[in-house]
Amino acid sequence: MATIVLGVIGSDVHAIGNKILEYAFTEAGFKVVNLGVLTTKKEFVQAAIETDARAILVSSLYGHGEIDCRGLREMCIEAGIGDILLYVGGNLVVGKQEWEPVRDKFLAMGFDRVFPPATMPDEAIALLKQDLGVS
Amino acid sequence: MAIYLLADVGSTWTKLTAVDSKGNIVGQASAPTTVKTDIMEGVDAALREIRLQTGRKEDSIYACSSAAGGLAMIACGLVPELTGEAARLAVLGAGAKVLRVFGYNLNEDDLREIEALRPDILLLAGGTDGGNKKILLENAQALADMVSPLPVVLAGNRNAARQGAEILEATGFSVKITGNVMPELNRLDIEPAREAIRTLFLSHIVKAKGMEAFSRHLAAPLIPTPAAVLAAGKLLAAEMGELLLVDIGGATTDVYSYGGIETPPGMVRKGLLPPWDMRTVEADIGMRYSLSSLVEQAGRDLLAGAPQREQWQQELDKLLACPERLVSPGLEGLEVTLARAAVKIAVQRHAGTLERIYTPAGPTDILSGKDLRRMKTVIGVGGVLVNSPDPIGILTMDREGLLPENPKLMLDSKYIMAAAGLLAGPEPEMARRMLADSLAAL
Repeated sequence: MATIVLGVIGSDVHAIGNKILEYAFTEAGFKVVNLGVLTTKKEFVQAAIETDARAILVSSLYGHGEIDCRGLREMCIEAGIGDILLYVGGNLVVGKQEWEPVRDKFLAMGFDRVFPPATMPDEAIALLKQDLGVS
Repeated sequence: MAIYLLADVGSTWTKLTAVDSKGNIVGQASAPTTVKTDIMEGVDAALREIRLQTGRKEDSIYACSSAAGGLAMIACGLVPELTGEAARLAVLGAGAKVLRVFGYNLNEDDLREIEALRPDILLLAGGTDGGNKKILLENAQALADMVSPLPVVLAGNRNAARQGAEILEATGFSVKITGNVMPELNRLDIEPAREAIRTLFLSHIVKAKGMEAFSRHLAAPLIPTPAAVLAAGKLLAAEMGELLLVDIGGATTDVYSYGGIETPPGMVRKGLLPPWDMRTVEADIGMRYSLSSLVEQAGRDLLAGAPQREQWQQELDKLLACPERLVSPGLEGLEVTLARAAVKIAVQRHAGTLERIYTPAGPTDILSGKDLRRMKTVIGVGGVLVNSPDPIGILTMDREGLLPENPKLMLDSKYIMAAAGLLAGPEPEMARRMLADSLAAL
């Protein structure tokens, strides 16, 4: 059973989607370490180290995802877990922006997968299983 | 009626309390602790005195000790804020003194320091259950390679514990495997580690000459004094509800809290959920041996507004120069001011933090650590309080942060908290009676 760290980054208090993701990933067989809302980058990294997590799943719903997520990959590298999978999803930027540039921006930041608004959990679960080579 | 003798072999004084089987205090005596020669000399001196008071020999003896520096430990975890903190809280909760806390991989300097400090016991943690195994195994290997054998309580990732123990045992370490101090992220489970430490205490703490001989006379294993105080507070909290206990000593100020772990509605809790019964020790906050660091921490306003400021300053300088000194008559107010600062600093450090952050959805309060605001009672322990003309002044805290908002103040007037704690397990009814006898509302 692979361990994953889940949380809503920054000053974001959107709790419902977070609970749904916790439920869905747990049902799918993952050991979910849910940090909940208002989670800092440091907390994600520390939790991943201590639990030996194989992926960090970051949610951001309030439009400030870009500034909150910047540097997460670098922090992981510094902390010795540079190879960990990083996923991010939600309403990552303010307003209606074209999706591809947004996705590319987060990929350039070091995220392995970037999910647009209204992605269903099943889609992320399937991709995570594929990326981790688990069934 | 049977006589129970309760002994607290402290670093400077050996204190004995005699109680009958109803828990009535029938004698109290003390003698200087004779740690340099044989602790039995001090014990015997106090025994002679108390037997004169009770008129007979006791039926059973229970004892705790903090002589020869008490139980000194080092804690190792992985992330300092997670298993490092969990390990630290477990060590404190067992009644030990924390010499150092290490996080991540132990490096050569750390290992040299461990070798030089020679802790009585080392607590090795790291990784949640099923989580990181590497740290535990690598630190076990580093200790085995570089440090001479020590008693180790291994309380880390259960999936690496056995292997870690084998690495250490191969070079002669004695290892006690116990439950992980943080089995899941942010969830503490420190009781198994505390219990293992207390069990090891007796078998490895024979530093003070005569301690082993003394322990053969005891009805129950010798425990560290703070563990006895923690047990007494627990018994009280079961009756009185959430409470805070502050023990002001010459070298340290210990704070014990029972409760304060609920998250009020509308707040978000972050970090480790602290243990319901939590002990912290401030080694730099004390009335004599740590007075200089207390004064430094309290800041230069400490004596501001004092009615006899110049006299107080002179007296303070004398106390700083000579820790054995008693405050001159007429200047007791200085002692109250110092003790009040000690209480405030120690309780503030024990308490958690409350931070208001502004989110696009409005202000949100983030709580971490202990919320002491609704503590019903604050109990003061220690000679400085018992002998003070103004214990209320010492124990009264400003309403700020997460400090108690409107507590009832009480005093352990007979200084029997540790003695009562010794009976909390075997004879709880007697312990309750003793506490009721000693606790005085202020």
